[in-house]
Amino acid sequence: MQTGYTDSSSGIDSPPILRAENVRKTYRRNGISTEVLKGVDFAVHAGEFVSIVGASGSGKSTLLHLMGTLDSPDNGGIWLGDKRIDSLPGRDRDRLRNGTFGFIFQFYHLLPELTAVENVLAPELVASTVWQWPFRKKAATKRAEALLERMGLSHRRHHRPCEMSGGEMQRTAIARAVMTRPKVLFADEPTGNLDETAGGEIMNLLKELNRTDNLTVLMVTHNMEMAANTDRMVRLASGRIDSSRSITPQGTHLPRHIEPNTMELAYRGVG
Amino acid sequence: MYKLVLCWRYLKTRYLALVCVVSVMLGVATLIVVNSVMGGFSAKLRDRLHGLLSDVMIEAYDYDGFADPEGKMAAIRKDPYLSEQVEAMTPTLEIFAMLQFSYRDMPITKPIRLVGINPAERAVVGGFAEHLVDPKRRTNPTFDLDDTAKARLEQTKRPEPLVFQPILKPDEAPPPDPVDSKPHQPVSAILGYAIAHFRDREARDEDGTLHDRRTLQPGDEVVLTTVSSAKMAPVFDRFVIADYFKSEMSEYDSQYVFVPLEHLQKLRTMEGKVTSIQIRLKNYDEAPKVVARLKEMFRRQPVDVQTWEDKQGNVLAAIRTEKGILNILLFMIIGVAGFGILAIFSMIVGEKTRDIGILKSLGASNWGVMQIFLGYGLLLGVVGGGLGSLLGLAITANINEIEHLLAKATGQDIFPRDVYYFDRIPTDIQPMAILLVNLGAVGIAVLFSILPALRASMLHPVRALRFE
Repeated sequence: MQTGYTDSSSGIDSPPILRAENVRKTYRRNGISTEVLKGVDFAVHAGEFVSIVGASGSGKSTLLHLMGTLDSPDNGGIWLGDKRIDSLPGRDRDRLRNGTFGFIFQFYHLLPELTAVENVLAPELVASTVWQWPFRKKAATKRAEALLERMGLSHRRHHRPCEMSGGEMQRTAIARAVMTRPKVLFADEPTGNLDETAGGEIMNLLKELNRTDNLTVLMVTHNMEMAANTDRMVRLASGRIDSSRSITPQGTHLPRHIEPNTMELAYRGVG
Repeated sequence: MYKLVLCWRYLKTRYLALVCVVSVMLGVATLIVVNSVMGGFSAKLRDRLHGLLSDVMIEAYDYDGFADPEGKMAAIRKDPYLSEQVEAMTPTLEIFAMLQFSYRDMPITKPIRLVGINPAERAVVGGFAEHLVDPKRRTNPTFDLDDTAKARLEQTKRPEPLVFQPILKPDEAPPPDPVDSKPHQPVSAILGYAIAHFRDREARDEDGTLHDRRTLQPGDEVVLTTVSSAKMAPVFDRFVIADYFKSEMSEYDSQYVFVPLEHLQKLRTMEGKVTSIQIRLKNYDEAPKVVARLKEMFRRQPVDVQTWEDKQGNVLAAIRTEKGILNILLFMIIGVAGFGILAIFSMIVGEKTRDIGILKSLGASNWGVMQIFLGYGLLLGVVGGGLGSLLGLAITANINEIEHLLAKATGQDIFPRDVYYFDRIPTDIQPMAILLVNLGAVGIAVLFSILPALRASMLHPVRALRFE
């Protein structure tokens, strides 16, 4: 186990909350191997809002899934604080995904049979046994309704996903992702399926959660404008980190509102 | 908790699953109806057989019977164990015979089984008095003719032959007076109902009930011919019908004729001999011990001792076998429903692949996902089984009305009452059978959901989330 790790690229000296070390991942299909990640070193600090950008097939989502324990690396390791999590038994990884991590996806991935409030309650339902649920139900429902209210969806709480717009579904998915008060939120192209307005709303919500709840957010996006609104942008190209650096000076507080063009220039080494 | 919520929601929202519910329901309902009807037949047959045969029988090896039945019964009464167990005993004499009578001036001959009994004693042993058609005779079983029968006997009696007085010469001595002989008084007999009646398929009520046509009435005379025991020669006598014996068992009602024991003994020159002693026990559970004791007691005698179940072993075994085979065949219906569940669940797992990925991203374990589909199968089995039980019980309760409707609609006699002489289709609802059928149905539903459930649980979360 490695301790005292600091990621110089982030410009922050504190130990990272989540990090990947020399992570490799190869997919094999029909006898053809495709190496998606070719040794990625990457860290995220508590309270950081990091975006991962890159071309299609560059391994962004794979890295997100590996760090969120949805998949396991072939080589290297993933650490949550000082604890290696990629080699944990299945049940422990399930617990991490239920309580410590939250996920939002491009296609919302709400359960179609459940209403909005039930979808938000889903992580609590997963965590509770039949016997525990009657004791937890009241508090959990209260929190789920409060989250929906915070997302501006009180009027939709008894609606099913098929009765909601894309933006509403994604906001419901965000509420579900933060239901169990996770430490890290993984967002896989959260605005990729939304129009500009709805995408902006989602981005604002994520930023608000990051700022007010000190929630660490790791977001994969194609949208440079969205990426520019994060604390740090990591570029993946051909399975390796191409450039990764904070747009602010080392160790200082992270700026929240930077003009996208400035960001892009900075990443190109101009700024 | 999510497993329960999702199971219930899937059941409510996946209409495809209703196909599984319906197939399980129909399978369960069919099994319950068939089991209840077969159970009804079986119970009725057992009741009848038991009623007619008494608990235990001491039987002769042949129709020549055994001597001293009174001595044997006295020995039984003296035995400390048997005297405690035996409720009643009666000797009977049974022999094959031919019955002849005239119906519309046509001679009719039928093979029958002639049984000599003491009606009061036979009634105590059971299975006799309650089957007599005349209600008065059920409480006081006797061969005596009632007034109607006597009147009919008088009415149909042939006139006394005319006696011509010879014309005597004046010196001729008168002939001696004829021997003062009483006219032959026929002995009474109780006839099996089906011997004296036949089912007229043309005579039906509006509700489809068949009518019986009577060929012999109380007061009518019949001739019974059998064999003598000593002389090896045919013997016959005239008997007058006193009543009918209607057990609703075709085999018995169409063959048995009861006559007084003493008269049959005389007719067959078998005075003091019988072919069996019928024994009724206080507690039938003791029958094996009683049989063993009786065998020990009469081990040197030419008799066999058996329970009524031993005697009718083949019939009862045949019913058991039929029921067993029918159950296996019908359970295959639920087996087919199981394959339906397998196919439909496989489709649902395919359809729900993305949901499985979502659940895994929310922390659901492989076992948890598997439990959703196993629970879903269980729920389908329980709901299908529950509905099937209700349907099966409803059909069983109204089986006769349904049979009438179907018979009317199709014009076919679905339940030929003349075969069994049951007025209604007998049913016997057995809670244990219903429980077992339901457990089997639920078991099959769960068994056939294992494979799709396993497939769902093994899905990789990332691949499931990306599933299109």
